[in-house]
Amino acid sequence: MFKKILALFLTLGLLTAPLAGCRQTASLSPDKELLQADFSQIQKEARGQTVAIYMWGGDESVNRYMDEWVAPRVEKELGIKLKRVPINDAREMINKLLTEKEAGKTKGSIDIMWINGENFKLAKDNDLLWGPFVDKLPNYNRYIDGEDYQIKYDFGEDTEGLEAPWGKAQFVFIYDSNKIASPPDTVEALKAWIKDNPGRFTYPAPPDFTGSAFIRQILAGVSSNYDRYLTASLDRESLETEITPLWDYLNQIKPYLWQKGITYPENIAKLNELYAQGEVYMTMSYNPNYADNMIKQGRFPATTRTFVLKNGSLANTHYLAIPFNAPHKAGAMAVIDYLLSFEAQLAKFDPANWGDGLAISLAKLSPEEKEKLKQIKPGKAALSPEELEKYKLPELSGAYVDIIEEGWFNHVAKN
Amino acid sequence: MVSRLFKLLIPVFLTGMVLLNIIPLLLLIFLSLGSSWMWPHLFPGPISLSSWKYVINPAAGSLPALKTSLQIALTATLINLILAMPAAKSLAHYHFKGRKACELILLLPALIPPWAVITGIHKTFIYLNLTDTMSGVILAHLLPTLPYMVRALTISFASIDYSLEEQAYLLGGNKSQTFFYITLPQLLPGIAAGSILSVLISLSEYLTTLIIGGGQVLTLTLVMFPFVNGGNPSIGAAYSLLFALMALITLFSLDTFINRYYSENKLY
Amino acid sequence: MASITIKNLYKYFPPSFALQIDELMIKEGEFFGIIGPSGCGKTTLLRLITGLTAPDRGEIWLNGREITKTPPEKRNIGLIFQEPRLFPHFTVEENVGFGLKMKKSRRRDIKAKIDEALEMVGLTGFNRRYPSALSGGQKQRVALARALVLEPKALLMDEPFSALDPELRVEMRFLIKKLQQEKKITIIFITHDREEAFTLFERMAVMQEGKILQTGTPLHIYNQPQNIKVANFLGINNILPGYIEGNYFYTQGFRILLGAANQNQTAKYLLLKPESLKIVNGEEDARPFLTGTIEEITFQTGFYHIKVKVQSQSLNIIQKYQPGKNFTPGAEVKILYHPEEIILL
Ligand SMILES: Nc1ncnc2c1ncn2[C@@H]1O[C@H](COP(=O)(O)OP(=O)(O)O)[C@@H](O)[C@H]1O
Ligand SMILES: [Mg+2]
Repeated sequence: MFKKILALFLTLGLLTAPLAGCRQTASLSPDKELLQADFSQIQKEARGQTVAIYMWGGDESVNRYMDEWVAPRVEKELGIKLKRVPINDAREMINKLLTEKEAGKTKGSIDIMWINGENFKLAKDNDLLWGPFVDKLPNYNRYIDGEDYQIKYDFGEDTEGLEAPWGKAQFVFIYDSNKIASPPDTVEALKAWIKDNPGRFTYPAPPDFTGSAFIRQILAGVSSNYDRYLTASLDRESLETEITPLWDYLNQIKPYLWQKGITYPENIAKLNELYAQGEVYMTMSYNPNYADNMIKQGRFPATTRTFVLKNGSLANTHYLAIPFNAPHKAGAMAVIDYLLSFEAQLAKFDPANWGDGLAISLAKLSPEEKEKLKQIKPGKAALSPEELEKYKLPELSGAYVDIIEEGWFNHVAKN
Repeated sequence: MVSRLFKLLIPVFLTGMVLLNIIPLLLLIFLSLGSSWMWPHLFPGPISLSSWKYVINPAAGSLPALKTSLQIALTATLINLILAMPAAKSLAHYHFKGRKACELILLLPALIPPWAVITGIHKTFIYLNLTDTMSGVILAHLLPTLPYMVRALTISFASIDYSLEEQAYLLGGNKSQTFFYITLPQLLPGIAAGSILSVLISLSEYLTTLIIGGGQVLTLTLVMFPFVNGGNPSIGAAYSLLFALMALITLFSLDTFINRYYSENKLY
Repeated sequence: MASITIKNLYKYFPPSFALQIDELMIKEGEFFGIIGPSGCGKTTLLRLITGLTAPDRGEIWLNGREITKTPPEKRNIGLIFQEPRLFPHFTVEENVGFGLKMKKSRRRDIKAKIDEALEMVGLTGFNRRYPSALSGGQKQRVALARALVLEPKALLMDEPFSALDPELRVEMRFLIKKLQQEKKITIIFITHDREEAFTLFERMAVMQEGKILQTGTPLHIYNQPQNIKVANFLGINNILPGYIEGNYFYTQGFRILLGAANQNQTAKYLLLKPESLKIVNGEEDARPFLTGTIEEITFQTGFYHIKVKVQSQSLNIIQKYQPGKNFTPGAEVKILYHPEEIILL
């Protein structure tokens, strides 16, 4: 009997042990030497390493680009095994690193992580990033314009060389040319079109990523001085009052939305379904090639096309960073450098692979490289790089994103 | 009168239950085939196999993920069994001080939402050097699953007829023979119930697998979650079906195994 | 040589029960019975002998070897309970073969022995049935076969037939008696059924409150009970308090003539067996008699159970049914008795 009760208590102990985790902070010394080392030396050290890249895993083309294009080449050319770890939300990585930092775990598991915006800010503010390392990468120095505002600042936050730009996304509208002969080209024209076509437009409710971007996109169109919002200088209340024109705009279109604006699609997938079914005539995406991909998969009508607003089209850059406790920092640097190479960027740009915007600067390309780039034609539903470039606007400060999302609930959804 | 009404209601009720289970499954199948089926359309749209092609393509790593999922679920269940046996027996038969408290504590992990304790667990596991390993994940999976196993076995133990054990001793059976031939068969329904719960919970565990496995231990749930969660509903649906299939096959094998044990435990 | 010997066996169950047996010997091949009221420790005694319960002190010997500390599975003593305790997940043949399998006997031997055992209890061909498909009597037969197949050194039976209906009980008694005679098995059999005791036992012990009051053949105990408790338990229920003076025993209101053998001057009780009394209607016979009034009559399978009031006391009388002979309540009757059949205690 006593043996059994002992076993019982052992079991209890096991179950309660996790609750006892206590605080302990360790000082971390970043691998300083690696930052002094010669890049060929870094590459040599990287050979044979297995590099784990943690990235959102919900997009087929992104996953395929990594698994089928990048991984075999990195293995062949650099002798590095690339392991893609799919995650659901970049915040999960940040939380993991926060706990690891608190517990003093100096050897983590993430070598590279794909982040931007608020997650970068969180990581930076909590010293979760290793570096600055970007200027150690030959391809960064060769192809990236580090002084470009859209590269140096991530949602208004100075990157300080702690993350390397990997690609760009731009906000576009998607419509069915069969149903709309010429799409609206300004926010005002969009409002007029919505009023003329009741029930044929809607947008996903924040905090859906695309829905939230749509609201910022409208803000860029209705505000006279958009640059003011690139850095966070206003408190919540002043910002909410100052952007009254945004709330007015959204409230004015509300009665003409799908379901009379009583409900909104909960996420972009739902809106895309409505569009695919012909319920609504427009959808939207932060990926300029999205319409083209969907046509190829047979989900959107072949007459689907893309447009942007002349008031400006929001764009953001996404980055690659190395955590403080990355176990294979040399390998991480080598892989990031490879991802910034012209070939890797070109393949990523190719709509047949991923169709992501270039992080490298067009101005820094050699004539042959420019020629190769020209060979890649955007899909018939996508806009040309030049057209996209023409109306490009940077994202506003990351600090404002949450405020605007919550403001939408109070000023628009509740009405 | 009442009973007649009841008899009429039973088929209606059953049909309702079946529909309730089948309609989501059909929707999932159509969704995985890239076609949506929405009100007010009577028929689903055109279908495509691209989502399935992605899911079964070797680069997507579904197969190793599936293997990892099963490995973790089955090992955790086995450990659960070994741990829960003596614990359940004590809870069922010995009336000592604090038994109720023990019972409650053993149930706690199933009651407390995982996100509330996951940081604590994560830290402890870091100190124990168990993060980012399969053994760590297996150990972490014991937390949400062990309570169910203990519960199921406690009920089993409480309903055991010990006079049969005595009878077996009287017929010359030693301790282990008596356990295997007489006690275990009586525990089997409880073991089956506990194992099924344990396997299912482990298979669908997301948060603990992610945090303790740190992404180094990739289960099917981890791979499919970004898709299901809005990334690509069609691929998400294909993964969900694959998951359901895996769970179904596992449960079926578990059941057959237990039944086989039951019949092979025949004496000759 | 005794097959089972018990010396100074003691077992205490808090708060108030203690079994204490100073000495008990059961011979090899003997059909030994234990009777006693419910709660007197009969089951406890059997559990001590099989080893299911450990004694606080004392010794148990089996065929000249002490087995007090031997675990039950090594004693090879069969025990059959009131309920059959068959293993529900095994068939009849698996139940019967269980013990042989545990001993790792050869498969072919097992098969033959099972069939033999089933034949013994009259269940040939029931091999593949599950216990749930058997009647109560059949289950108990399987339990019997399961114990017998191991050729136990002794077979203990704890009220094995008391849950069966009366006809079946008689049949089972017959079966066990036959088996015992054929196989010369040592049997200890518990019952609280007097009829069962008299038909089955060669010798028996009467127990009460954890102690053995008397041992002997059933007839001997019936004729010479050691005290009124034993007598009462055996159904001698006319117990008259009083004293002896001369040739008579004086009790409240009347006296009884004693026989030549009954000269125990210190006796305080006189016992009359109910079947030794005879009611007559006044005439005939020169035997000593008492007179009384019939109070109550019940009829049970061929016998009248009659209560007759003699002065201030009631006497229980059993009379064989005879056509033409009737009793009526309230009637004045003579009760004849044999002075030689009187018991004095
Ligand atoms: N395991 C036990 N624990 C405590 N008391 C017990 C136990 N077994 C039997 N007893 C007590 O011992 C006494 C004798 O029981 P038992 O041997 O079953 O009587 P019988 O079989 O003669 O009816 C009863 O008073 C019973 O309550
Ligand atoms: Mg009893």
